Amino acid sequence: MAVHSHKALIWLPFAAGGMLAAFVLPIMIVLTTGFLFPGALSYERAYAFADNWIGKLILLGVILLPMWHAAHRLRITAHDFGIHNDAAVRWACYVLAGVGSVLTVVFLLAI
Amino acid sequence: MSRRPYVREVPRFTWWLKKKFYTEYMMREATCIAVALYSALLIIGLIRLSEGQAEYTAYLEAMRSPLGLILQLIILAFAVYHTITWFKLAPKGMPPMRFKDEKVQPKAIVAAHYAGWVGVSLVILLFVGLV
Repeated sequence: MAVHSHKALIWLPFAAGGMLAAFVLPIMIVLTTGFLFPGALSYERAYAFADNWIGKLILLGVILLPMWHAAHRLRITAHDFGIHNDAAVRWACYVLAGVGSVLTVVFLLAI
Repeated sequence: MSRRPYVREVPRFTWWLKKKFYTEYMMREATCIAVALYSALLIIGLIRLSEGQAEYTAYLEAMRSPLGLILQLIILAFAVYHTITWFKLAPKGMPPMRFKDEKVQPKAIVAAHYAGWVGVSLVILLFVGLV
């Protein structure tokens, strides 16, 4: 019988989030600082972007995937930072990411 | 059984400062703190956006205040470091690839990632600047 592991469930968002973060986070940060196209993130434009399903899906991806990537990496690295209680670390990292996910979905739907 | 085993002393919190390789590894892993922080900033922005124009505009002003800019510049430095290290590891995380009966060199895979990064960034800039 095949042994099922939940590792794939953790590794998939880790890899996908790491990839997405590598490709889009730097340019996103440049845009949120306002160094380039400072008017691009005005209320009207940001609202119009988040007001349709394509925009909501894009925002869901760029917020949640890098966040879950970070949560998993933080959990693994906590050991190297001298924190060896994996049960507590795991709980803290994944619960925080879970709360972030719920907030993201709720407020995306509220727009 | 009477002999005490040799246990090398490892400083619990500062071991990674002893060697450049360790420090680079820890810097790479620490990028996740910046990524998580930026996700939090984005979620706050999303909440402010749903609350209304005044709230969202205040958020944008805070992001562009000196403190907001310093924070984002630090996050940007870590984000770029994440990109560089992620691309560096990309060939190691992939199955071996062949093109025209020749093994694709790791260098070529890394170069393709950098080209893709420039392309994606330009497409996002064009979309944001023109649409």
